[in-house]
This record gives sequence, structure tokens and C-alpha cells, in this order.
Amino acid sequence: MLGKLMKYEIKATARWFLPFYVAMLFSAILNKFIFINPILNNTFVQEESFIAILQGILSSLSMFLYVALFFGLYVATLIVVIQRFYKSLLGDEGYLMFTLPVKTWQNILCKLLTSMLWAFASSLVAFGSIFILIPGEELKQIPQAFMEAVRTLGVGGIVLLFIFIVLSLTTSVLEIYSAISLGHLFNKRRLLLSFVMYLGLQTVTQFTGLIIAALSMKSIFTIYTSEITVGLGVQFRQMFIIVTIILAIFTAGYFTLTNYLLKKKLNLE
Amino acid sequence: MNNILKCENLSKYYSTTKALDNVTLNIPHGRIVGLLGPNGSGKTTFIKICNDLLTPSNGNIQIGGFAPGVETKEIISYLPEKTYLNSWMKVSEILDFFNDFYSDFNYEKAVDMLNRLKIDSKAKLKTLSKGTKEKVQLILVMSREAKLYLLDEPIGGVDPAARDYILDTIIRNYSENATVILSTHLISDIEKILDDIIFLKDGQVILSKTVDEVRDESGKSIDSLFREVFRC
Repeated sequence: MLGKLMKYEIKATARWFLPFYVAMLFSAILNKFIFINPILNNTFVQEESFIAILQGILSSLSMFLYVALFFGLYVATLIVVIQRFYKSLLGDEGYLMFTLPVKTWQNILCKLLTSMLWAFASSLVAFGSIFILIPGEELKQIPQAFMEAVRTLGVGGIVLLFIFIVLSLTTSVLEIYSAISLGHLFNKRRLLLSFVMYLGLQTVTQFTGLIIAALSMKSIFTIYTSEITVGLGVQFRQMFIIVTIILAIFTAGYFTLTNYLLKKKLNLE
Repeated sequence: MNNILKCENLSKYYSTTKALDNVTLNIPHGRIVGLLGPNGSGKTTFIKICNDLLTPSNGNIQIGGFAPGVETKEIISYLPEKTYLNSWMKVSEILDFFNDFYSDFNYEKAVDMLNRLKIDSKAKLKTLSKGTKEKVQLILVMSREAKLYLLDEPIGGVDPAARDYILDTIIRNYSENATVILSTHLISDIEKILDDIIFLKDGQVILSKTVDEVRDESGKSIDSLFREVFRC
């Protein structure tokens, strides 16, 4: 059932993202030809002529478009995360989604996984567009830099980094879901109250996260201060593990909270 | 097991009001039941609890032997008051959606009903008029071969001509041995199709009888009995 839910959720959201991705990659290619390449090859028209002005305007415009799309993609991802949860589960469509023969947690997980999928796809497209813009010679250094990073972090480090990124994402998304579900406990001004709830959750999350991190780091640093032989890398990795564990706890907490609210406290308008 | 729906002392309280107050009901298979009462009498609350859209404050409810959950959702076909159709699908896609999720969905029947009403299955849901959306929704709900149909105000928002069509659709399409519970305050229109009636007032069941019993005992039509009981 989760697979079926996701099939429709991806269909519902793809019509937002795919045109965005095409526009983004197209804009990157455009920039490569009318902005980046002329600079590299020094083929910008130098003298003060109509063509020079036109070239200037066009290239600035295309760069502006690219930058706007770049940030637009981020904003669009955020809006889709919020809108798909709010509208499709807690709006009128909720009457259909919550009466399908599926568990509540499957509905939540479906929204979460689809959001994650688009977040990763958006990142890939953003990186892809940067690769298009980067001149060829510089591009060759990327695999080297990547190998360098793998060597420094180790395979374990890369895995940890990946888990860290995934958990940061799930925590942020589920925090939004929790806030919307909490806001929905009220009968009026649900959207505004969801935002207030988000600010509240964000404060709690940051605060407890910082305290736990500070406490654990203090003990880590106390242990190692006397041992000069131990490099900063070990301490850094331990910190990293602790932050990751904190994120995992928040992810589990927010998922449980959202599931509880949607299961027991659901009150569709 | 004779009853499709059983509930005992079912209550739903909100901070200031009792939306449903100690409702105990046994509804058998194969009946058409009118859940009747004025606005705010608890009809929608009751139907929402049956559909697991609300959690009762007290009491328990079983449908087909299960508490509201995945098992009951498989056998209940629910028509809410609201239009729950999304804006991005085509009519044909929402048919596929129902076919995917409900194993009792009769696809051919749905297509047939769409054709008879001349609803274009390639049309986007968001371009349909409100009335057509309601018809599509009714077709979806009645194309399921469910054990229990819960229809919340199915004729509330439509003109009398459409009312007849809707009632006709319900009568002709509900599977044998299934029970239909429909809530409404427009009693005269549905009186002729009902087997049983339940009167709800301020969240309480004040009357639960078969239509024949009512006629034999009081000699009144359901409509005039309703007017008498709920006189303001």
C-alpha cells in the first residue's frame, strides 16, 4: 500500500518539479553560452556598441534567471512539502486519504519519503546545473577532490555524513508536519497557529539539541585534553556521531507525535 | 453475525459540547437506514467516527466485527459532505486510483455510469462543475461493492431532479446484503426508500425503528413524525 500511495504522490508532485528541473538545466546551458564562455574566451564585445550593450543585458538577464531559479527551487521544495501535507491530508482531500484502507503512518511516511526524494532530486539538479556552468578544466578536478574527501573522511565517515544529511532532512520535514498537525488541533486560524507551533518546536529543538551537544562535547574534550596524540579528527567525529544521534531521536519523536495527532486527534473541517 | 454495525455508549465530547451522547445502536445487514435529525444533531459526527476520521471520547464501535481501522475501511464506502476530489487528476485517473486501493471497486460499472451521465473521463477534475464533481464522487462510492455505505447528506446540495437520480443510483447499485446508512434532513425525498429510521437529537438517539413500525404505530409518515418530534 505504501508503494501505491507513493506512486500517486510522486505523480501529484512531479508536475511541479519536472518543469522546474528542465528550466533550471536549460538556464544553466544558456548561461554557459552567453555568459560564462564569452568571459572565458574573452569574446565579450569591448567597444561601446549596440551589440555590446545587448550582450551585457542578455548575459545579466540569463544569470539573474539562473540565480532566481536556483533559489526558487529551494523555496518550491519547501512549499510543496508544506502544501502536500496540509492540503492532501488535512484539507478536504483528507476525507479520501484517511478513509483509504491504509495505516496513518503509511500516509505520513509516503509524504515524508516523497519529500525526501524531491529534495535529493532538486539537489542533484542544482549540482548538475553547477557542473554545466563550471569550465571543462575545472570540472576535471572534481573527481580528485571527491577522492580526497573520501580519503580524509574514510568510508565510515562518508556513510556517517550521508546518514547525517538524511536525518537532518527528515527532522526538518517531520518538524513541519508536527507543527501543522499541532496547529490543526485548533478550530480557527489553523495555518497561523501551525506557524506559531513551528516557531515553538524550532525553539525547543534548537535549545535541547544545543544543550545535549554542549554537555556531550564537554565530556569528550575533557577526556582528550591531556592526550595530545589524539587528533582533532577523533573529537570531531565523536561530536558528529552525537549530533546524528540527536537528530535520530528528533526524527523518531516528531514522527510519533505526528502519527499520534493524525490518528487520535484528527478533526477535519 | 447479524449486525454490520454495533456501537455501545458511543460519545464524542468537545470542550463545551456533547456532539454525540451515549449512542447505542445495532444495525443489521441488508437495510437502508435513514439517519435523521436537524443540523448539529450529531449525524456527521457519528458517520465520521464510523470512518475513523474522529476518535470517540467514550464507548466502542464495531463494523463488520472490527474497530474502525484498515479492516473497516476496506468494507465501508463513504460519501462525505465535502468534495474530496483533488485538482490534478483526470476523471479516468481517479477511477484508477479507486481501483488500485479498493479491491471491491467495480471499474466497468463506474465507466458505465460515467458514460450514461455523459461525463468525459478525460476531463480534469478541477474543470468540472460542482454538481458534476458530486456526481463523480457518488459514482466512485456506489461503484464499490462494499458491505456498508455511509452517505452523508448525499442529496443536500442538489436540485430535486438530481435528487431522484442520486437516490435511484443508490438503490440500483448497492450490493445485496449490504447496508446503506444515509444522513439527511430532507426526509420527504428519501422516505420511500428507507427500511429503518434513526432520529438523532442533540447527540442522542431518540427513536430507532423500522419504517413499517412507525406507520403501524402512529399512522404517520416519517416526514410528519419528524416535524412533530423536532418541532421548534
